[in-house]
Amino acid sequence: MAVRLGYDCVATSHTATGRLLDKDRCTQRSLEAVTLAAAGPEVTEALRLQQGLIRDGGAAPRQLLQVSRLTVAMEEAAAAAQLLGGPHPITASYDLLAVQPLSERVFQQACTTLVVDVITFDMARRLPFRLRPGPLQAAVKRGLHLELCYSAALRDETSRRNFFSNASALVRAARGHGIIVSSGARAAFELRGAYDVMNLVTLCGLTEQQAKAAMSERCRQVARHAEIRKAHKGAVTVIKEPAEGGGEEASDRSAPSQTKGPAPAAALKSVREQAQQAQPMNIDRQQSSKRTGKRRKR
Amino acid sequence: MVRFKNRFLLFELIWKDGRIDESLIEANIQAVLRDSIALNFGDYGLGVCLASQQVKYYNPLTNLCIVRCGRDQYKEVLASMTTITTFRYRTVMMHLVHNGGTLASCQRAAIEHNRAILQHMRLTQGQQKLATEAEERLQAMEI
Repeated sequence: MAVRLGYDCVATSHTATGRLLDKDRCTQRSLEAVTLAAAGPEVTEALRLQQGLIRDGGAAPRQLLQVSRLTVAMEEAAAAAQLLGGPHPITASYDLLAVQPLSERVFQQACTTLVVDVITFDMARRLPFRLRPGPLQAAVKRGLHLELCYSAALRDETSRRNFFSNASALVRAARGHGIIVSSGARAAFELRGAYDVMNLVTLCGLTEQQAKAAMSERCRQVARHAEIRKAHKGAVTVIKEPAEGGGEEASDRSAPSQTKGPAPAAALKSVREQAQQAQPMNIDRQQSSKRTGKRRKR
Repeated sequence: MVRFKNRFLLFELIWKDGRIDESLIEANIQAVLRDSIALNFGDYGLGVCLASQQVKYYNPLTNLCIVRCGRDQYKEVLASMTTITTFRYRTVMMHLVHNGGTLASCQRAAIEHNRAILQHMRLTQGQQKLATEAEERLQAMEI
């Protein structure tokens, strides 16, 4: 589905609460191009369609970039510091690391000291603390990103209301900086096209430019931040540019979307998927400010 | 006096079950869209949007749909579309393909998209006929 909607990079998320056990180790494997191609005629069709519509010329189709991500929901500051204060064998097995603070103290801590890439919130419920600009801006300054998961807006009425209330609070407190938008989808049909999502978040107070950045560049920055975090202070790593930068121009990748087949996914509880990166869509839009990236996933 | 401006949204309905329901017509889409606007933006929002909103075209075969709405309200209309998850008890996703200021530009985008889709679909004879008709209707749409 992600492919069909035009995304060229997806992150599959595994959520753990409180403690990390051995079973939380990363078991996700990216699907091979062949598997993807075998996933069904719909996918193949989507790929062709995408290539036909979005790409002119005969550049070889690229692979869908797939990233694994761990989200840890934390309530106790001490435990959070222990787990996320430095390198940890289990967190190291994932590409991206996100923390979901469940209390004011962890929120503060996440913004100022924890070694993570993304701070995420449960958009479907009322947040148990107030989002204050101070810590959020400190987080943005440290290069962390704040995540808005739009799938809450697609579920029932209460979660939609909470989504809009939390999202506008977050946008307001962070002044639109450092926000990324992802699906948080539990199923493929909770994904939406990039333009749709951008429009949705502009209703929460982001400008169109910020909304676009939230779907494209900032997600790339998250990936880069993760690479740097993994490299540790001072160590020299060769960062593979194509992983991030490459998506910019011709970004369809050929991977189909049945990504999580039953096998890897079944083992994970509450798998959330989140699309990370976007690809510019080449259909001309009338409003120049609306050129977008899209993200999607399935 | 400034001209009243519209937006034309071309979008694709993606059905989870992939079934083709040839009984769907524009009025059904209009109804579900209206309900969604009412749910999300209330009576006031619905009233404002309905002033100019209209479903111009729907093709059940390629699932393309063109909706006209006032330019000032298109964000609300689009957001309501985004939040639609079921339609006649089937899971659906509405995916914006083109957002244009004139019907002509939407029509061009739709024709291009149609072609790309139909090329890769295997159709029965009846469907083939439908497809041709739909294509003609699209071409003949008054601008």
